[in-house]
Amino acid sequence: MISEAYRKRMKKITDLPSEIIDNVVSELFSNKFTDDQRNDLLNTAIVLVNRSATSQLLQSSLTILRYFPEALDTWCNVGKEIALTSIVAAEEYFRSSPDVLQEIRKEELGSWASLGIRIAEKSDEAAVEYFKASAKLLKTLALSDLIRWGNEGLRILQDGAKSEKAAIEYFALGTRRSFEHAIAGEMALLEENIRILKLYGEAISGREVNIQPVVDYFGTDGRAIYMPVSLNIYGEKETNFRLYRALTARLVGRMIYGSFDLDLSKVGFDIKEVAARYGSKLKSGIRSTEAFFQLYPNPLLAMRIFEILEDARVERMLRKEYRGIGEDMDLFLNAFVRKKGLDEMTQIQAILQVLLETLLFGKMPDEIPSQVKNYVQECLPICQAAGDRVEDTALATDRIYRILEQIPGSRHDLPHLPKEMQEFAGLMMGKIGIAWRPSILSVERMGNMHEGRRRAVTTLLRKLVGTARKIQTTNLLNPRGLKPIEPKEREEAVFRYDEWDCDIGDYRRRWCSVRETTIRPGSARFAENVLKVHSALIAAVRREFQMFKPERLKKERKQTDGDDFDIDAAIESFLEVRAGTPEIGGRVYTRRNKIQRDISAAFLVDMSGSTAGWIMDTQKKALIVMCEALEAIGDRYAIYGFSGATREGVEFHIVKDFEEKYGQTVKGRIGSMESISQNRDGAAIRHAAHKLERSESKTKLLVVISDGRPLDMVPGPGEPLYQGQYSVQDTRMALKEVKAKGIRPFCITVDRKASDYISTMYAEVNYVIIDDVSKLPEKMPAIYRRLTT
Amino acid sequence: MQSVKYRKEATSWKIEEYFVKEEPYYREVGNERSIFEAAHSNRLPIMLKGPTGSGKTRFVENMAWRLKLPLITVACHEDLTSSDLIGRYLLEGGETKWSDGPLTRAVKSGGICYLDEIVEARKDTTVVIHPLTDHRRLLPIDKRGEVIEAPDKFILVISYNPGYQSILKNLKQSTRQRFVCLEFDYPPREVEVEIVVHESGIGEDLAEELVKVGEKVRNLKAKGLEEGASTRSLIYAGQLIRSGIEPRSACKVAITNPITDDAEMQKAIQSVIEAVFP
Repeated sequence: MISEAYRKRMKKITDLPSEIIDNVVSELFSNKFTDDQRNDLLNTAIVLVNRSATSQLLQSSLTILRYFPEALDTWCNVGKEIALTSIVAAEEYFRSSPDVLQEIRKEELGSWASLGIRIAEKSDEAAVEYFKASAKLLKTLALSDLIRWGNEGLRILQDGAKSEKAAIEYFALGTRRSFEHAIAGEMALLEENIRILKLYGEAISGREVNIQPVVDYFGTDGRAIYMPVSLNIYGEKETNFRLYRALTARLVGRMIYGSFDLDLSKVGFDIKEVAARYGSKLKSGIRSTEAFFQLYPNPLLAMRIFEILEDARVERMLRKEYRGIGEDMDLFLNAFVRKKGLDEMTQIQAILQVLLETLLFGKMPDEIPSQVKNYVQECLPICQAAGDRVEDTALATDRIYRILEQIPGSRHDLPHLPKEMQEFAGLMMGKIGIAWRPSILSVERMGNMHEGRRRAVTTLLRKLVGTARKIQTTNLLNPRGLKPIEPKEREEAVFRYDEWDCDIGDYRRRWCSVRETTIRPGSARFAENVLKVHSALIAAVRREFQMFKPERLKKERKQTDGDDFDIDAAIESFLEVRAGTPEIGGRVYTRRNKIQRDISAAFLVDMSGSTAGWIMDTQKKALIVMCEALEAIGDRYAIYGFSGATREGVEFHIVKDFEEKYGQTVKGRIGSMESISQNRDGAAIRHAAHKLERSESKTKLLVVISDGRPLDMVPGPGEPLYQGQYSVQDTRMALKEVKAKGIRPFCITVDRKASDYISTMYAEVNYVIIDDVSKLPEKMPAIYRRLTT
Repeated sequence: MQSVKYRKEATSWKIEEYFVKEEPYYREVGNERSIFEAAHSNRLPIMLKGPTGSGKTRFVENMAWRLKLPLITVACHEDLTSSDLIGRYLLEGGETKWSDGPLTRAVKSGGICYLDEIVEARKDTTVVIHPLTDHRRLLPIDKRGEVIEAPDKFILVISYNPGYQSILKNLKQSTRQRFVCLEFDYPPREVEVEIVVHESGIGEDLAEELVKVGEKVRNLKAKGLEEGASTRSLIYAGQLIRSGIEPRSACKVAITNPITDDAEMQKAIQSVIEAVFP
């Protein structure tokens, strides 16, 4: 048929505007399609009979013709089949299928649609919703997950009398259950469990644990532990969570049992002999695993051996110390999957693989080539005889290396290492110089992740990691990354403060200059936005704080004791005594709850560059909420920020001073708070104390909100840099001085990396670590309330 | 052997006639007994400082038994008035009659007055004890226009739990410095095991595991837990285990549930328990 005739026929069967029809026709008559295909499309349209469905078909066909031309035939046939059962469902199919085809392959169209047909057999409307929701869901779910979701809905539909309505709601993602079921199924997400896992790790290890999500492996570098964003190996969410727990224990176990504290002088390890054996350069001593591996011609091989043994050692120690941890560990073992056949590996790789499996499962796997078996049997006794310290693992590694190096190709034959791990290896080992990179064994172990999920998550992760990296690298080590210190409105006096130098054990007199400035207020829009978005939280906080306002406390009558007489009650009691019916008894006093509040609170906020982005934003939000709370309770308060660089340039920003009213100006100032340069905490704290001590309140509180280490890396000539122990000790001293002035300090830190310095720096004061910055706006008022009521 | 008293019926006593009849189990950690005795013989008041469930009350009971003194305990709270401590006039049958409060009765009978969690009480209540706690050892009863001289055997003991406190609720220096202060903390491991064995009746192996749970949970203090797991909660868990409750379940109700309402924290703590007990 020629195009003109085609166009005419199309116009007859549909109400679509000419423009669309023209586009369809021109697309159809480009060289991509055969005559048969064109006729097929037209026939499908005719067969539908229903005008609305036909129009939808033709409209959607444009996308199909343009972007999924190879799917045209399947698409039409499937549509026809659906139409046999339900026309409205077919219409929805046509409408949503272009979006769906972006996520699934054309071969999968059939299975997606056939579930829809089975649903349509029971309920047209439910089928329509099924098709409609599919497009949205397939963005994050794999098809198999979607089918599972759909089957659940079908089950609801088959359930009985009232079921149709419930099913329709289910498919429309109207019910929470449907939503959760669709989105997560039985998968466990790291994000949902990260706090629990972190606390678990911190409890068993007694130290800070930092968990980072990665896409599909797990491991640790001695500072953070890395785990996959989601696990879906077992059919139940709780079991998948327990797998996370097992991973956490295994990884944290390396820190507990000293995998990173290699000190070869503890055992009789003749380092010189090894160095001489291979002609490797010997540095002053071996204090790190990295240095240990570098002794060998093939460091990666040494590392691989070491890791297999060390993994076994840590598991052994964990099982010994924790009688109940075996269940979790078994879950881990059961998730093990050998992804490549032994015959696809080189000999060394195969030996290592079998060795790993033997140590993990306690017995050798079946069907091993005899050569491999011999080597493994030679290595096994060494592994089994190895002692309980990490140094023993090093010793055993050396002995096994000497066996394996006899195998041809051992010098160059790198252990099986997936490409992305190789990149990661270079990054971790080279630049940061830490012990060893994450366990590469893991990639083989994780079962298959659903492809669709994996894709979605990888994209998300790349975005997240990208953002995080950006924030870390706008770091203070590069002064060129700093914003210039701009002159602000109304510069005021300069104050000099001592600084504590822990190396000399004394103060450097009048070392710092603190310049007080007032922030130029921007528009109050930021504040108004916060009030709108967080209106529920603010209303709740205001209500709560108002209850503690002294004037709201009532006078209580008929008390057994009190400040004054309740005349009415006294008279009544006399009458009662006369009448012989004493009821009031001695309750003839009134009492007023005498809780006086005489509090001045200063909030000191870190405004340095490290808070740039969402941390600063969240701090500002929290401040607005806090102001609302404080206005409700009536305490006197001030808000200050600090930043600056060099000891002469500490900046102290006044956002709201005690006497100022909380109005548009203050709101505007909060809105304009920005992250600039560095933070010399000690000086800022001393100045804040200076301002607080002038207030006459009975109770004075200084709340310091910071996101991490005190750091001022812009050096003056010959001066100590404000970093490391120096800055931590100075800050600690400053807080001590604050306490000595009768001011009560309290520190809120949002350092997500949660490092050891915190307990040193805040040793003298009370503090709290808030893991999740986004919770700051709700936690800050709660903390304040706890402190002051 | 255990300090849980088995009583078939309820008995009531006048508070100044309440003597501790049998030795309550107390495992000394340092030299706290001799300090208490020395303070007592020098007529000095004592402050016991430490987290909840660390043995303060048990210690006082033990000393009351040793010194054969009546023990009068007052649980302090925000609404506690000085009249609640000293006494008040009551209307009885058309007449007013003075009734001594627990502090007065302790003073008069020469016993131990134990003010538990004194920081909860209001400051105007707390100052009532000042004349009793310096060299004067006097209790003024303003409403009667009387003053009572405390006998040598009388001793005032207060308990105080420092920590994540409200800045409004603290002990003033003028009060604190009147006391000899004994600090209580979670005992060292072997001692805690001994205590748990004795108080709950379970075997040493199980007790060691309970103490391990306690240690690990205490690592979470300041990460969101206000207080670590107290020795008392470990003992409760042990008692439940002895009665046949599964360890995981016993620990959940004795340790995890009471210590926090935060679901995630509970799950983390329970995970530790599951690692320790199969």
